[in-house]
Amino acid sequence: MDRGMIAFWYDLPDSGRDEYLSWLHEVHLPEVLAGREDLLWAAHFRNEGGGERFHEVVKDMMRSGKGEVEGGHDFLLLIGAKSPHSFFNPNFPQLKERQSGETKEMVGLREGLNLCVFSEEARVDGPDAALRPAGTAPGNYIQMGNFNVAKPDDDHVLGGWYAQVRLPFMEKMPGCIGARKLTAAAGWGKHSILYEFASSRARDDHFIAHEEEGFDENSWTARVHEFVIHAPCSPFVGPRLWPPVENKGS
Amino acid sequence: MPIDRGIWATWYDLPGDGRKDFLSWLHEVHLPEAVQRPGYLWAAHFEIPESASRMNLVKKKLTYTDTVDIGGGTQFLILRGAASPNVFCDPNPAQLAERQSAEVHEMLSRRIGVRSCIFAEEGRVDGPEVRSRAPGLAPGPAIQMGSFVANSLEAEFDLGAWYAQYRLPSMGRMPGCVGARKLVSVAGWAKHSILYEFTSLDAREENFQKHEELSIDEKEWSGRVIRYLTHAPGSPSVGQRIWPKA
Repeated sequence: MDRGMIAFWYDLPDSGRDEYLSWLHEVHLPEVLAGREDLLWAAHFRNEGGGERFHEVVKDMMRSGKGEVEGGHDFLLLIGAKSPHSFFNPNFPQLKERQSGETKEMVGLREGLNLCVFSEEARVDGPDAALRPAGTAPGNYIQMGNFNVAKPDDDHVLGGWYAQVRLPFMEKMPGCIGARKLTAAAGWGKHSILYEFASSRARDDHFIAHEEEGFDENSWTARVHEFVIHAPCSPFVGPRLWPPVENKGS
Repeated sequence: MPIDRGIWATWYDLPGDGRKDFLSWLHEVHLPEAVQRPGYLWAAHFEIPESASRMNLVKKKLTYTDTVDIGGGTQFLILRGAASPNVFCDPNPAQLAERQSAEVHEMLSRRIGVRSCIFAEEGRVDGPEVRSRAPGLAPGPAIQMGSFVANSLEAEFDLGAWYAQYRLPSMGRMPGCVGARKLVSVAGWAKHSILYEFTSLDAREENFQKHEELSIDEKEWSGRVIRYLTHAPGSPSVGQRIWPKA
């Protein structure tokens, strides 16, 4: 249903941040969705970092080279559509040309903007999938990775790991709403993974230990950790700011 | 809604010796067995002859990768289709290779310059001749398949717009066109691919070739696009389906 997605990672200056967030949530995103039938949902997230245990897992992973990709990572705006081609007709540069003065000014506050258009490669629903009705905004709390691999053959190892290890785990994990493996139709990071959780607590209680399997150097997870090269925004871990979260999660 | 959103493509060459034996085995034994694997919907084998002179004029304008370790095969192309690209990740090609019998291993080892990609479908259009391919069945009798990378983020947005706003709508109206699928790579070089399907090579030549020739003019949108792309060896592959028989 929502196989296309555009992602904007960015930072905001302290000055003007509150005004920007009010405008984005109360004016811009409702207008964007009202104006285009092919856009199914939008969601805005704030990065909380993922916590100390998680930091230990990811701290030694490879990172993109300096200047290769913009460094924004505090906020993430996702928009979903039936097809990634919704984001190419018009495409982002064409949309920018059509922006009003106000939109230009507010969007101009974004710093370090990194964006990708994704096509969905695969998805699984978790036990809490009912918290996110089909075709609506991603769950209350997310983790999203964006990365490349060191060489083309690593893609096949990565694909095997997602299909045989990670996605089947997410399908059964308590507190998991779902997971989507994405492939970039445009953008620096060819691969992306979006995990949706019922809450931060659910992620802490059930997901971090699975990430920590990467400490076992004989594990498939460790092999994957050795060849992934992350964008500055990756992994992004945080709550949904808009649409506001209803407290139904576990 | 398309049911075959995953494609596994393998380009390769064959030595002159033993070619006939290999093709008989592939068509009569290996591919019929492969499509029995869980999740596989179809398989198809294409022979890619040397480019015709008109297409060579276009190819001379293209940039080709100098990456040496991706496999340079250009003569044949095997395509397999599945509902999801994940079907080709479980088992993945390396795991399949580990499980091969000695006979399969020996036959597949005859291939030279093997290059393999698993693709997810990004978008598709049906052409006027789509009824000649029932949903879920192998691509049309003649194809053109390109695989390439774009050299910047700006180029990727322009490429996406070119397909969404110009090329795919044109294919939807083109006589002799069965359909076109824009693909993105889940695994392998390159990141982007386009698969055009035609009722015949003649239909392609008559209706599509002139579109390709627009790219020779750098003032055309198509001309701008080809100048920021880097292609895989031999790309685009233009060929005829040799199994299942066209």
